Amino acid sequence: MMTTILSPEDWQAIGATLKLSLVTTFFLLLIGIALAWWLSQTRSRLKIFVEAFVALPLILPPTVLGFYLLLAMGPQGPIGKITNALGFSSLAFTFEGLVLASMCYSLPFVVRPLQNAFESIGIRPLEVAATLGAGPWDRFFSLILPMIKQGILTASILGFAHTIGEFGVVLMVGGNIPGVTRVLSIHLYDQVEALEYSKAHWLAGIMIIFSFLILLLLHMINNSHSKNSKKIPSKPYGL
Amino acid sequence: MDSNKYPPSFQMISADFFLQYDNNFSLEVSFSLPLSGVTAIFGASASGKTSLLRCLAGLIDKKAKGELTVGDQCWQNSKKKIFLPTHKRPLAYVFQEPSLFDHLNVKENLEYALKRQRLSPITKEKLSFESITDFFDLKTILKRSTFALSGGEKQRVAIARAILSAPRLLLMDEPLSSLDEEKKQEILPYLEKLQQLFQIPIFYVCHNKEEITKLANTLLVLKQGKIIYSGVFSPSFLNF
Repeated sequence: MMTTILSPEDWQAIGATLKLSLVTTFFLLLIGIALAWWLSQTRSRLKIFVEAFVALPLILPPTVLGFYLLLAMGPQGPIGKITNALGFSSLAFTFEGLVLASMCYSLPFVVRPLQNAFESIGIRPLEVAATLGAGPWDRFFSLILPMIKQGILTASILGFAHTIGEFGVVLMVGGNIPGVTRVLSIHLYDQVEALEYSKAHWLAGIMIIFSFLILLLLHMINNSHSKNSKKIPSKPYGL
Repeated sequence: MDSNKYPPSFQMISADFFLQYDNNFSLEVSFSLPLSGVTAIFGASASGKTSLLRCLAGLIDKKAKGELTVGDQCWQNSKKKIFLPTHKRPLAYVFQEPSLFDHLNVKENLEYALKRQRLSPITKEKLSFESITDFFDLKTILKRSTFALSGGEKQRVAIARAILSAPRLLLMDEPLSSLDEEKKQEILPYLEKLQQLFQIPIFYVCHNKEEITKLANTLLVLKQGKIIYSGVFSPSFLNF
């Protein structure tokens, strides 16, 4: 049924979108955990500047972000010079370039929940662990990561969903290459431009349902978590 | 001052700290006491009791200047720029409020310490999971989540966890003060027996005279960040 409604190009766009979001979320988590941990611990004066910088994509028009990233990736830009020196061609209009741009775009959506999670741990559990003989790395893996599971999950979902919905940055940096950088939102725009409204309806509808389901999932997770941490479990013996 | 009263074979703990806070409060202490039995750190609130305990643990982030030698180990010497981080000091710390790891159940909390147990002169059997859970009567609540414990049970688990890590020095910061009178009486006997069985030296911050009289054999009295008595316990010194 779906195959007749959705054309091969539609499926290609969906595939490119999912791939982009997955790869972006993966790398964002790695960077985000390190960055959020630093932000939650530091007393450096730089902190507020870094926080403001990380939050920039929240209010900046995506096209502004995309424009500067495009320039940076070009042969004269700083990123372009690095990729050139390493023997690669420019990142502009490639999948890798799009991943990099998406990471900038979705950064606050991953860093913020992680930072909140780190800050909610507080100092006490870490002090207890230290007095029991756990060193800094031991504390990080045995205590901190398990304690912020919730935050990691929230950050992943938000980062993933936000990357799926991006448009302006992709248009500027990724171009519109079928199967590579033509993601769902761009594909939808093309359909509307071509006055293919019934096709556009299907694509837009899928996006709405998907976004709703993601948010539903997020609230379900948050709900079950707050129940667990505040109320005494119904089976106090854990059986 | 009173260190001469103890036989020379005794292991000693010697400390000499200076710590300046922003709000005009400063901690200035110097003592040398036997590393055995229960040493009560007594004083009014804001006399620097907890600060002193945190200095011993290495948990002061604005590092205190000074020296700390525990037995034959140097834990801190600011002149020689030695500062042993907390996790390398063979100590355990029981906080005022029971600080269990909430994402772990009782058994897992205890195992966290067991996995990191240090070398100790105390026999392995005494420090086994079996004997500790037996001693503290935790066998029936091992599978419970920390949210399903009473305040008294939580603190019992926290103390058991501290012992399981096989400390050479046990620091306790008013471990009973967050409990009501009934719960206090439930835990005090464990603390009394603890000394006889494990012989881990304890530094016990407290402002409750009854607790001190029951537990302490050495006393350290603080007033406004300075020591006004350190030596053998005598009830008469609690009236400062």
